[in-house]
This record gives sequence, C-alpha cells and structure tokens, in this order.
Amino acid sequence: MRIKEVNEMPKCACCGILIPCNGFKKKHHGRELIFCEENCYRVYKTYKFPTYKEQILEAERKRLIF
Amino acid sequence: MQEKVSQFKTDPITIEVIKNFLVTTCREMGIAMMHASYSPMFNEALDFSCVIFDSKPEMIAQAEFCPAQIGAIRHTVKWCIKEVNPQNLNDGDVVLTNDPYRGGCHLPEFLVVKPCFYNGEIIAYTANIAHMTDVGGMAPACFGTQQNIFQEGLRLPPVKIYINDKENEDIFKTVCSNVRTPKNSYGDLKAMIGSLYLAEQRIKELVEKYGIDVFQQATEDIKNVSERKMREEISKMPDGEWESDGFLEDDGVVPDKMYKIKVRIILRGDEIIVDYTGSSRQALGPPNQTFGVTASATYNAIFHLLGTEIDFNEGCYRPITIIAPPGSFVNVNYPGACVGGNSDTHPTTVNTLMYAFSKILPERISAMDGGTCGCIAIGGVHPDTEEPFAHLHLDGVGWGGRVDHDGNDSVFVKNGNCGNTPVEVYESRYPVLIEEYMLQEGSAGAGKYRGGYGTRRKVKFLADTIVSAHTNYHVLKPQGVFWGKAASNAQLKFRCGDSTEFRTSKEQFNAISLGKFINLTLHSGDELVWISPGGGGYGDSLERDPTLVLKDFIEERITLREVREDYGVVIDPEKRAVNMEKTTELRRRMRDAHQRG
Repeated sequence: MRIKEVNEMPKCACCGILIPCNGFKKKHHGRELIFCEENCYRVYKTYKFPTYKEQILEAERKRLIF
Repeated sequence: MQEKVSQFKTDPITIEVIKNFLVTTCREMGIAMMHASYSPMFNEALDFSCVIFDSKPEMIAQAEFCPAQIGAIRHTVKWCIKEVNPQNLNDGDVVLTNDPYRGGCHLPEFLVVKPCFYNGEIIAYTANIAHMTDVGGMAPACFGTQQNIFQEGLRLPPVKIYINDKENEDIFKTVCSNVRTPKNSYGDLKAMIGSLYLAEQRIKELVEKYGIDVFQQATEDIKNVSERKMREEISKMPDGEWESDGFLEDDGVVPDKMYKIKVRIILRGDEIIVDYTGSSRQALGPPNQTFGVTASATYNAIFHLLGTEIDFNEGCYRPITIIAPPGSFVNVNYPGACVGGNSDTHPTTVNTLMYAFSKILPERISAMDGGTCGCIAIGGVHPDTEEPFAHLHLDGVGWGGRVDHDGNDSVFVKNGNCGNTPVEVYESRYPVLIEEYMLQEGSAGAGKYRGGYGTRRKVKFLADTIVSAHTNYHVLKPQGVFWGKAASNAQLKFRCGDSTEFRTSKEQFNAISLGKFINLTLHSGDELVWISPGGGGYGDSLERDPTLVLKDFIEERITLREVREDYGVVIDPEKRAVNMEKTTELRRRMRDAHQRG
C-alpha cells in the first residue's frame, strides 16, 4: 500500500480544506476539479469562480493553488 | 383556517427529549473527563469538547465547551472516519489523531473517536477533542516560536489507540515516550477514552427506550430543525457584501511584520459565504490558522450574533460556506507551524468578523476583546520530585463593551471558554509563587459601555524554569467601536537576578518579539509579570452615565485623571459624588473641541 501524506493530498477547490479521501471530481470550464462536498461545488460555480476567474486561471497556469 | 403541517417526521416532544438527552450526555462526558483527568489543562482550564455524531457521520449534539474546538471537530471527525473507513472499524475500537492539517486545531489538541455499534451496525460516533499539555517538540507545553510542525511536536494521523476494547500499547508507548509528562498524558488520554464509553452506554440506553428507527429519524429531524432556524435568522439580514481587515502584530520570528486577515461576508438569501481571500501568506512562525481554526472562528462569530435560539449541530453549519485559500495565514500548508493560530489568531479573526457584521447588526456585536489567550508555557525539572514538568498557563482578558452592557472583566477570550489555573493549583503543582493577581487599573477601553478589565499577575520562580510565550496586543491595541476607545496593551516583563527593574523580553533576552518567544531560562528567584489587555469600548465615552464612572472610580478601576479626560466627568473625590453641573459643562467643551479638531 502506498501511504499518502498530507503534502500529497488534494484540497477542495472552493473552501481549501484538505481532503484525505473520498473527494469528488467535477468538470468545470473544461478542467477537472476536486471538491469536498456538493455545496462547495455549488458555491464555486456561483461565487468563487465568477469573482476570482482571472486569478484562478492565472494560478492554474502556474500550477499553483488559488 | 389551514392547519400548519410539520415538515418533520418525529413528533416535536420526542425531538426535544432526544435532543436534550444527547446534549446532556455530552455534558456528562465533560464532567467525567474533568474528574478523571490528570492535567490542570483538563480539570481546571476545561480545554476540551465532547460531541456525538450520527452514522453519516454528522454532528448531532455538542455541549457548551470550547468554541475553538467545536467548529474544527465537525471536520476532523468526518475526515478521520472517512480516512480510516467505517468498514475497518469494529466494536471496541477507538481512533486517535492530532494532525492539524486534517481539520484539527493545532498539535496539542488530540481527538478520539469511538463508533457506537447496535445489532452489529454503527449507529453513532462519540468523540472528544482535548488540549494535551505537552506534545514533545522543542518547547515545554508546545507554545513558542517554532517554525515548522516538526519543532512543535509529535503528529499522529488517524490511528487506533483501542482495538476491541483493549489498549493498543504501541500507540500509548509512542505518545508517552515523546512527551515530557507521560503520566499526565496517559491519564488524560484514558479520561478522554473513558468518556467515550460513557456516552456509548447512554446512546444504547436511548435506543433501547425509543427503538433504532425513532432514534435515527429524530437525529435527522434535530439537524433539520437547526438548519431551518439558522436559515431563518440569516434571511432576516439584507443581501450584500461586507468587508473588514484585522491584523496580528507579529509571528515571533520575523521582526515587526504584521499579518492581515481579510474577511468578506457575502449574504445571499438564507446562506452566508465567508471569504478570506486576500489574507496574508502563511507566516514563518506559529500564529498560522489551520482550516479547522478558521472554520471554528467563523462559526464562533456567527453563532455569537445569530445563535441564541439555535441548537448547535450539523444543521446550523450547513448554510455557512468558508473559503480559506491554502497556504495563507488562515489555512496553513504542511509543514507550516500553527500552534498559535488557535490561541491568538482565532480571537483576532472573530474580532475582524464582528467588525464586518457591525455594519449589519450594530446592536449585536461587541467591541474587540483582549484577543489573546495569554499562553505562557513553563517547564523544567521539579525540585521536589526531580521529574520533568510542563504547564501551559492561560489567563483572562477584558471583553469588549456591548450595546447595553460593559464588557466582562478577566474572562478567557471568545475562542476558549476556558478557566485559568487557580493560584492554589499553580503553586502546589509547579515550583512557582504567585505574588500578585488583580484587575489591572485603567486597562479597559472607555466608551458609553466600557470594555472589561484585564489582569495583572506576578509570578516568582522557585526553581530554574524554561519559559516560552505566545501572546498578542503588545503593539496593537484592542479597538473600540462606534467612537468607543481602544483598551490598553498587554505587557510581559521579567526581573532577573539582583536587578530591581522589570524588563521586556527584548530588553532582557534580546528576543525578537515582546510577546512571542521560546525557551528563555529563568532562575530561582526571578520574577515574571503578565498584564493582559482589556476590552475596547462601545459608543461615545462622553455619553456614559456619570454615576457608572463614579462607581468605577470608587472601585479603583480608573484614576481621577481618566475620569476627567476619558469621560468628561467631574468628581469630588472627598465627597465621592459627581458634580453634575460641572460635568455637563466639561462634556460640552470636550464635544466642541472634538468637533473643531
């Protein structure tokens, strides 16, 4: 078994919480993102992405987490 | 007339009975821990929280313990169980973790979770989170100016500390061999686990009485009732966006660098989004908040403002979404240090949120409180027992004034709900003598309703002792609201050797910060004085009832100069009476001068 440690675990694309397991993937604007729960995906679509679109896309180009 | 149809399947009386039974069980868990534990952090400070989750797992009950932990535990329990996987849990297992990056608060806070089985299936989880005094690392009692998690101490991912009702000795040995006070840690862990068994027994009694179907339906309804009430409260506020910035004065590592907490509150119908985008990057030192702490601070502020009639469980958290950018001051990335985020950044975050809400709910907010837990950690070898000791001392601060009341004096900041260490316990268990402990004159911010008073405590060390601290408001001041004035600063000073002068950590030890330092060596006979900040004032101090000003003067809370300069009140000190005529005239002149200036 390969042990994943916190530095390898994903963070929710909306709220930023560490997701040790069972995060769910969603397609958004052609990108595959990981969220901790359905509500975070909804808030990402309706608030976070529209508000910070430029910064999010710029961060993704640099492979950074926004 | 049309009859209102309930949207809940359980009858309201049964919901109330089951809800109150579960909350009482959480309280009973806490009392059991208090009586069975070894450390003053447990049995005096009460720095722990007890909760019950259903099988989903979602929180269904909590008691009035530590707000800093309650918000985080919602995430830690859920992710801990998911990571371990319920299929790998058996009756009699207990899972332990203290990983701050997995939703926890900070390293000293240990979480234990136990599944509750009924007829072979998990029907609930009992859990508690508690502050262990020492977790190893470079400083006794953990607090100081560490720069990464490895310096802070032992970090445990979710592991089974009990398997089939038996101690997993490997884990106990690992914990006890990595801390300075293994006897205390062992006893405290056993107290935590004991309370889980107690709660499990109570849940089984409840299910025996009502049946599993009623229990499960009622717990769903309990959450839904809270969610509905919370959404109703949020709906009463206007839609819109409000912003506020708060600052922490330094991290104890980089000199004089302030850290910003940027808050944007978005109200949309019956939901709240709290967005921390724009906050500072994570600090090199330990005041960073984990996601769990930021979540706790957010819920803490919102429940202070909205939650008077709402039962706290998963339901009331649902309408609140938090956005905390990873790698920022409010969501530290591995391996960033974070022990101080839960003690000093949390209250700063709550104060910042209160300011943002002051534009919507001016009658419900308070001015800033003293904003620090006053964490002073001591350690060494006790001369009586020749065994290592470690202790984290907490102290109260002044709370901010409110719309119709003065702030509380010397109460632990909003995140902790903790007690201080009583003088008798402090002196009997550790080699110290408490020479002074009193309210600090003049520490409260003036206002129509003034802030509460901080305290002054002088400690004499009776053996060589290592001292570390993580305190706040030495440079910045707790601010007032609506023209209320700021409170006084914190002070932490030392008198060493034959000197008669008390000097700051910068003057005495060349420390980088006045309030955050690590492993300073004090010798037998040296003294430390800690003055905690007061709370900010609410409203114009010239509108304060002069008789209340007189009362503060008689109680020696303020000087005659402050009576006159801060409140515009003229008192005859011999007659101990207010001269109303001269007061009215003085206040008129002060208002004129203020308008001109």
